[in-house]
Amino acid sequence: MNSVLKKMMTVAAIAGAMMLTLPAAAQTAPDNKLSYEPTLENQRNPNEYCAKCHKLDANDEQSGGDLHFGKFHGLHLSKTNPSTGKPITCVSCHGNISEDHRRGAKDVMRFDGNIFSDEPPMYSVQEQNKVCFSCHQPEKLREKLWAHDVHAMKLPCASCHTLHPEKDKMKGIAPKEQVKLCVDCHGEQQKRKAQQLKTEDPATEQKDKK
Amino acid sequence: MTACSRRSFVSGMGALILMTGTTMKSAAQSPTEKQPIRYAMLHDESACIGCTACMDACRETNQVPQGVSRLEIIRSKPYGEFPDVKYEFFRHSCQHCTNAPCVAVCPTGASYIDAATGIVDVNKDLCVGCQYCIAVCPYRVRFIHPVYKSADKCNFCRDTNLAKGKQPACVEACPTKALTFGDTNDPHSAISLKLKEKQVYRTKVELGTDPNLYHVPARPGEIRR
Repeated sequence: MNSVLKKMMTVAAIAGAMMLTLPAAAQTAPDNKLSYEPTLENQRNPNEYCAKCHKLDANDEQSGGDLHFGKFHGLHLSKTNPSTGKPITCVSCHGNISEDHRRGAKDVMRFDGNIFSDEPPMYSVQEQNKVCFSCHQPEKLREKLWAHDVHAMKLPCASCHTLHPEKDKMKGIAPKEQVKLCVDCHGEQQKRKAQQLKTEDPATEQKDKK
Repeated sequence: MTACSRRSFVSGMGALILMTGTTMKSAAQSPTEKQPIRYAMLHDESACIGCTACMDACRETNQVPQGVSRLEIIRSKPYGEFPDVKYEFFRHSCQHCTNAPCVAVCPTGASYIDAATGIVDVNKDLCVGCQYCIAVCPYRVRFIHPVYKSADKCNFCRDTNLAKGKQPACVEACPTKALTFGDTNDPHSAISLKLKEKQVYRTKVELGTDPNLYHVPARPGEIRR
């Protein structure tokens, strides 16, 4: 009896020792690899200058304005540009900005999704969407939703997507809501087309009714 | 020779039959006789945007359970290269055939053509669920309703919207007015005018089913099947 117990004790002791040594070996492995990330201590924050006026955080005094005040929430600032591997900053999308942009100069990229506005947008749909398509690949977009394909350069991305949102209103959207988006926009288009026809040529309207 | 020889009798009877035959035909063609309603639908594939609002509207109006559908919009593969990619959309639903095989095979008379409107409908109280109609329909649009356990399919909203004097749910829901519904026996109805004005096609006409669902092709050229 005694010898059996002794044997069991030794087996348990060996197993215990192995349990202790194994994780220790695993821990020492990465220490052998030397890694060095060069960092500049006083590196300029590329977004700081913009953020002096366009506040990155919600702020009671400034939130709710037209110029992104308190609206920077999106994922964009935390991601890197897939083609360069560098972090995305304000100028990655908004382009070469001069002091004159405060006076409405056409230098900063302005994303305008309202296609039913009476004023023509500063930048055409093509100009706006080229910026988005430099990172967002058509194949991936098609996988997400086929409708990306047919709207590609005909409609600003900003018409459906919010660009600095807490949560993109298109993400995780219910199928019924998705259909409603199509119906609302295309319905409005049809309405405007019919109105235009009416004002241009009242005779055609009557013909339609027949 | 007698006045009524065999020869003159035969030729006389032939002439009589000929005369009566033509007069009866001409009477049928007279415009004074009112023809019954013959409902049909036109899906303009060049106007359809594939939003599937019609599918949702149909499901809601006719209380069609999830998993089955009376109406489907089938989206094609993408044609063309980015950013000029196009899709084509096809309406897959009951064709309301004038010569409906589903009605011909039904052993209980549950499947019938409504004489007043030409709509092919199912009397769910008579249906025994034998599925002959599902097997015979060349358009594959019939299914067994999971609640009533009877054959079911589009009936142009005969018991819902049409009964209330409205257009079928799909037609009302379409944001681009791609669907036209109406009486093809009325030469002045919107659908009759469109059928005259536009290039249209029907599917599987060679089977002799005489379908009443018309399509305006998405683009010129040969129709993709």
